Amino acid sequence: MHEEFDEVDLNARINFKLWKRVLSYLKPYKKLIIIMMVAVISTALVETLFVKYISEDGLKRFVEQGNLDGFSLFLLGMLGFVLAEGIAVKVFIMASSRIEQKIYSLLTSEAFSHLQSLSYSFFDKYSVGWLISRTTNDTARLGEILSWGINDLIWSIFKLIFILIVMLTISPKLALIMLIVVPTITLVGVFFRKVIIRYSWKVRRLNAQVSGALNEGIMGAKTSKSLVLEEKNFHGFSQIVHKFRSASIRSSIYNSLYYQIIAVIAAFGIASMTYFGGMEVLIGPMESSVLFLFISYTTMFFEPVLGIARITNEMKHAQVAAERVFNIISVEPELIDRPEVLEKYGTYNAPKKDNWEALDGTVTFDHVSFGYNGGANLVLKDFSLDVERGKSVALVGETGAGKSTIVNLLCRFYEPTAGSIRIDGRDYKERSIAWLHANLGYVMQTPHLFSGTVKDNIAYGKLDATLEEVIEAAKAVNAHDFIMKLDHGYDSEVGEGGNRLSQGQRQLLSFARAIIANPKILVLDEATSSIDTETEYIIQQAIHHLLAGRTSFIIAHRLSTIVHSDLILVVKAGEVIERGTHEELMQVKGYYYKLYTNQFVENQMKELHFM
Amino acid sequence: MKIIQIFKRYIKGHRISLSMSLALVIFLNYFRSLIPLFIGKAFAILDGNPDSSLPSFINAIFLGRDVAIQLLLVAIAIVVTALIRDTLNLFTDLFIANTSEGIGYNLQTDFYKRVGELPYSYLNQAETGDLIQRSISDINRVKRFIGGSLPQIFSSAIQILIYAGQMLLINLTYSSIVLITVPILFTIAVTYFRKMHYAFEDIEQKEGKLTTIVQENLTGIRVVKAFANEEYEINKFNNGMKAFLKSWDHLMNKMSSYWGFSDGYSYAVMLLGFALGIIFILNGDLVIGEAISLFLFVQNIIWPTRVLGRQIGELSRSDTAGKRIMEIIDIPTEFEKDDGTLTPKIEGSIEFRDVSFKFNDAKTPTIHNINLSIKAGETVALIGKTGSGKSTLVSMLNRMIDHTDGELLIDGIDIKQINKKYLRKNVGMVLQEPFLFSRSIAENIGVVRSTIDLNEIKSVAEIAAVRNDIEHFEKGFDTLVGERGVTLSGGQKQRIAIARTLLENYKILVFDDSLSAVDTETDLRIRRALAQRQNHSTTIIITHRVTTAMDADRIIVIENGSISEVGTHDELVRKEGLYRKIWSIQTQFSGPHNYIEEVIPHA
Repeated sequence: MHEEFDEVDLNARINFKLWKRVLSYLKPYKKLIIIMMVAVISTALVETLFVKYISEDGLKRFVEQGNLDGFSLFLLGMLGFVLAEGIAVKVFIMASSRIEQKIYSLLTSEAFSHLQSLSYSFFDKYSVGWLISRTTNDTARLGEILSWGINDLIWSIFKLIFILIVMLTISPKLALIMLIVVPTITLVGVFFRKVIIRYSWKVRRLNAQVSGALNEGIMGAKTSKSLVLEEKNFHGFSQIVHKFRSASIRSSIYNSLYYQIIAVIAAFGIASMTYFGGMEVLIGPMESSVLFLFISYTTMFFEPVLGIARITNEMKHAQVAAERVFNIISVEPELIDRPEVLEKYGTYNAPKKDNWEALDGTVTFDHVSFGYNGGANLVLKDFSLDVERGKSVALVGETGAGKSTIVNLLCRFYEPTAGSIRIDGRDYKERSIAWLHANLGYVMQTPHLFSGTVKDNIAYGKLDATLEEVIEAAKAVNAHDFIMKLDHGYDSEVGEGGNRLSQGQRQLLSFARAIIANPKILVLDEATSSIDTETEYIIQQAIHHLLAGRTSFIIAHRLSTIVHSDLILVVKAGEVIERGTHEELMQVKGYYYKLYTNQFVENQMKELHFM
Repeated sequence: MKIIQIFKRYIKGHRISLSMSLALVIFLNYFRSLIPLFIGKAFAILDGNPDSSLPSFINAIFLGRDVAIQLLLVAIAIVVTALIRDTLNLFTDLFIANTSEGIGYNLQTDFYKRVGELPYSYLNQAETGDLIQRSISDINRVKRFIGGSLPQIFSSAIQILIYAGQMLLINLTYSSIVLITVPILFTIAVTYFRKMHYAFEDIEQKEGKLTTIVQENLTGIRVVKAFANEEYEINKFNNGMKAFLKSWDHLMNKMSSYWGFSDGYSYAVMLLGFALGIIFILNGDLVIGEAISLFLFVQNIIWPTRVLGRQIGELSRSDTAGKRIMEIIDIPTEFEKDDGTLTPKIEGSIEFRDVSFKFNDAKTPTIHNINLSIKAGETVALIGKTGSGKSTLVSMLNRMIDHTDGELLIDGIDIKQINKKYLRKNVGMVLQEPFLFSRSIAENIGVVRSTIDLNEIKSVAEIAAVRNDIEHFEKGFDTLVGERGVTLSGGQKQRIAIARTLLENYKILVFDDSLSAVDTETDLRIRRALAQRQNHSTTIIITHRVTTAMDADRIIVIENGSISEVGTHDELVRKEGLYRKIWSIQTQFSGPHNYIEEVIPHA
C-alpha cells in the first residue's frame, strides 16, 4: 500500500498544451466515449423528466379528472423511464470504467515500456518507490479523472441545463430564484474545498506518521525494552496520535460545516420556492402540481452544482499527475547506439540477430577513465587492462574504491568518459548494447529473483530453454538437489523476490540463470553475507563451474575465489594499487597480504563456528 | 463480532460523547423529517385544507391566519427547521468524530503499548514480527470502519426508522405497503456486497501482482538489462495488466448491474409511492398535503437503505481485520505476569547458581547448570561459538528472558523479585544489531533523557569513538538517522548505541557482541576510554576477539550452554582448549593486533 500522496498547488494555471496531449489518449475510444455520453445524458434527462411527468401529468391530470382513466397507460410509460434509468446507469458505469481502464493501462504500459529502454544510470538516480508512484498511482489518477470526472461533469452540466430548460419554459420568474442561489453555493464550495483539502492532506500526512511511528515501535521494541523507553516512546506516540486525532476531528468539522452551509442554502432555496411558488399558485394560473415540480427541482439542483465545483478541483490534481507521467515518458535514454550500429544490429526490441558476430571473449580496457556528470569527479582513473579469452580477473578493494565502476563500464551500463573498451579487438560502441548483453552474464551480489517458479527463474537466462536445459544448468551449479527437495521441484514458487528460499539457494539459482545463458563474458559480484560453511562450499564449487571457460570479472570477497583467479587487481580510490597473481601479491606484503591474512583468520574462526 | 468487541473495549472515556451523538442523531433526524411535513403543509394550505401531520402546537400557529401569511410562515418554518437541523448536524458530526477518533486513539495507543510490552520471546519470532507489521494496515481498516462506516450505519438506520415512523403516522395502510420495499432492498444490498467480497479480494490481489511485477522489474533492472530481457518483461507486464483488467472488468460488470438495478429500483419505489398516493387521494384516504409529504419521505428513504445495506454487507472485511488485531492485543505482556516488586540499590555483583534455561517448546535446555559469580566492578569476557548460549545467558541479566531453573542473584537478591523496568534501568545492554530511531543522532544518543545536553552527548560519543564520524556529517549531531537521513554503517550504529548506553551510569554493563563491526583499534580505544571512566561498572563483554578478551579480568568460555573454561588470559592460553585454539588462529600471522583492521572490505 502506498502511503504517498501529493500536495498540489491549488492556484496552478491550466496547462492547455498538456491537456491537449492528455486528451489525445482518448482519441481511439471515440465510440466508447459517445456511448458513455449518450448514457449519462440519458440519465440526466430521465431523472429530470421523471419528476416532470409525475407532477405535471400524473398529479395534475388524475387528481383533476378525479378518476383513474388512462392510469395504467401512464404507469406503463413511467415504468419505461424506470427501465431506461436502470439501463442507462449500467451502460455509463460500464463505459466509464472501460475508458478508465484503457487510459490507465495505456499510460502505465507506455511508461513501463519506456522505462525498459532507459539506461542504467537513470535507475541510479531515482528510487523504485518514486518511479512506481509515477507509473501506477499517477496513471490511475489520470484514468479516473478522464473517465469518471468527465462523466460526472457531463451529467452535472446536462442536468442543470435540463432542469433550467423545463423551469424556464414553465415559469422564468421562479427559475430566477434558483439562479440566485447557484452563485452562493459556488462561492461557498470554492472557499471550503480549499480548506477541506488542506485539512485532509494534513490528516493523511499525520496518518502516515502514525503508521511510521507504530512501525518503529515494533522494530525497535527490543532496544526500547533494554533502555526502558516504553513510557517515553508511548508518550511520544500518544502525542502523534493525539495530533492526528485533533486534525481528524477538525477536518470532519470543516467538512460538516461545508455541508451544513450548503444544506441551509438549499433549505433557503426550497423555502423561497415554497413561498413565491405558493403565492403564484394562490394568484393563479399556476397549478400546485407545478409547485411540487419546482420544489423537487430545487432539491435536485444542488448535487450537479457541487459536482462541477468538485471536478474543477480534481482537474488540478490530474494536471499534476499528467505532468509527472509525461515527464517519465519523455526521458531520453542516456546511452544509445549510434545510428549506423542500430542500422546493422537492430534495436533492443527488434534485434537483427543475423548480423551479430560471435563473441570470443578478449577484453581490453585502454586508458579508461570515468566520472559521473560528464567526468567532473573521476571515480576511475586511466585504467588499462588486457584480458585474454577465458581468463579470470578478481577485483578487490574497499567499498567505493571503483570495482563496481569497472564492471559497470564493461557491461556498458555506463560508457567511459575517456579511453575505450575493446571486445575482441573492436571498440564495443561499434556494436549494439543488445549484442553485448546477449553475450554477457551478470550475477549480482544480492541475487534478484522474480516471483514465479524455480524453472522460470533459471530460464530467465535463456527464455526458450527446455526443462532438460534448466535441469542441466541447475546441476552444473549444485542447485538440483535442493530444488528437488522443494515441494514442487522445479515448479515450486520462489515467492516475492525469492523470499521463500534461503540466501544461499537464491544465489545458486542466480548462478544457474547465468550459466544457462552460456555467456562468453561473465561478471560476478560476489556476496558478502556470511553463510554457513557447508553452503559456502557448495557455492564455491558452483562458482568454479560458472567461471570455467569464460572470460570473467569478479568483485571478490572470498579467499578461494580470489586465490584461483588468473589476475588480481587491488583497487583503491579509482586506481589499481596492486596487480598480479596471488603468489606475486603475497610477496609484496602490501594491502593484499593484509587482506588475505585477515580473511584467512576469519575463515578459520568461521570453520569453528565462531562468526 | 470482534469489531463490536473492539468498540466496547475502547469506547472508554467517550461514553458521554457516544450518548450525545446518539441523542443528537435522533433529534437531528426528527427535525430533518419535519421539512417534508412543512412542504406538505404548504400544499394543504393551498388546497384549503390546512390540517396536517405536523404536531398540533405547530398547526395552532397557522390557525386563522391569511393564506399568504401562512405560506410565509411555512417558508420561515422551513428555514428555521433547517437551521436547527443543520446546527444539530454539525454538533452530531462533532460528537461522532470525537467518539470515533477517541476510539481510534485508544485502540492505537493501547496497541502500541501492548506490542512494546510483549515478551521478548514473542518479538524474537520472525512470524510474530510479520503479523504485527501487517496489523498496521488492519488498524487503519478498523479505524476507517469505526470513523466512517459505523457512524453511517448508525445514522442511516435512525433516519430510516424516523422517516418510516412519520410515514406510518400519516397513513398506516399506504406506508405499510410502500415500506415493504425497504427491507427488500436492504436484503438485496447486504447479500450482494457479501457475495462481492471475493471480487474485491480478487481485484486487490491482481493489482498487488501487477505492482509486484513493476517493482521486481525496477529493482532488478540490472538483471533485466544484463540478460537483454526487456521484451520479455514487457510481455510479463502486459499479461499482469490483462489479468488485472479482467478482474476489474468482472467487478465493474457486477457493480454496474447492481447500481443499474438499485437505481431503477429506487425509481420504481418512487413510482409505486406516487401511484399508490394518487389512488389513495382519489379514494379520499389521503389529502394532497399528506400525499406530498409521503412522496418526499419515499424519495429520501431509499438512499440511506442502500448505504446501510452496503455497509452491513461489507462488515465482514473489517471484522477480519479486527480479529487479527485482537489476537495481538490478547497476548499477555511481560509485565502482566512474572514481574517483581523489589527496587534495591544495585551495586553490581552477579551470581549464577545452577542456572538453566529452556525455551518453551525445546527438548533440551539452551543453558544448563551455570555456576558463576561476578564481583561488582569486575570485567568479564564471554567467548563461545555461535549458538552456544552466550546471548541467552546475558539476556537473563535484564530479564529479557527469565531462567527456568536455579537461582540468579544480583547483589544477593533473587532477580525474579526485582521489578523488570527498575532492573533494566540499572543494567545497560548494547545489542549486536542495535536499533536506531529515525530522529537526529543527538536524540538517539540522548534517547533515555528528557532533555538533551549536547556537551554530555559529545563526551559519550567521544568515549564510543564515534564523535569524529558524526562531526564529519554535514549536519553533525543533528543529522537524521534512517530513510530521510544518513545511512550509517554497522560499526557506526554500534558505536552510537554504545554512546547512548554510556550516558547512564549503569552498575552493570553488557556488550552483546556489540563491537563486532568495529575494527580492533577502535575497539581498543573504546575499551581504554571506558576503563578511564570514574565509576567502575561490572562489565560483561561478549566477543570473538582474543584482543578484546585478553584485557578482561576473567574470560569465560561457553560451549553448548555450559561453562567449559574460566580464567585469565594467561591461564587459559597455557591450557589445552577452545580459547587457546582461537588464540593461535588469531595470532598466526603477526601477533594479535593485526587481526581485523580497517581493510575488511565489507565491515
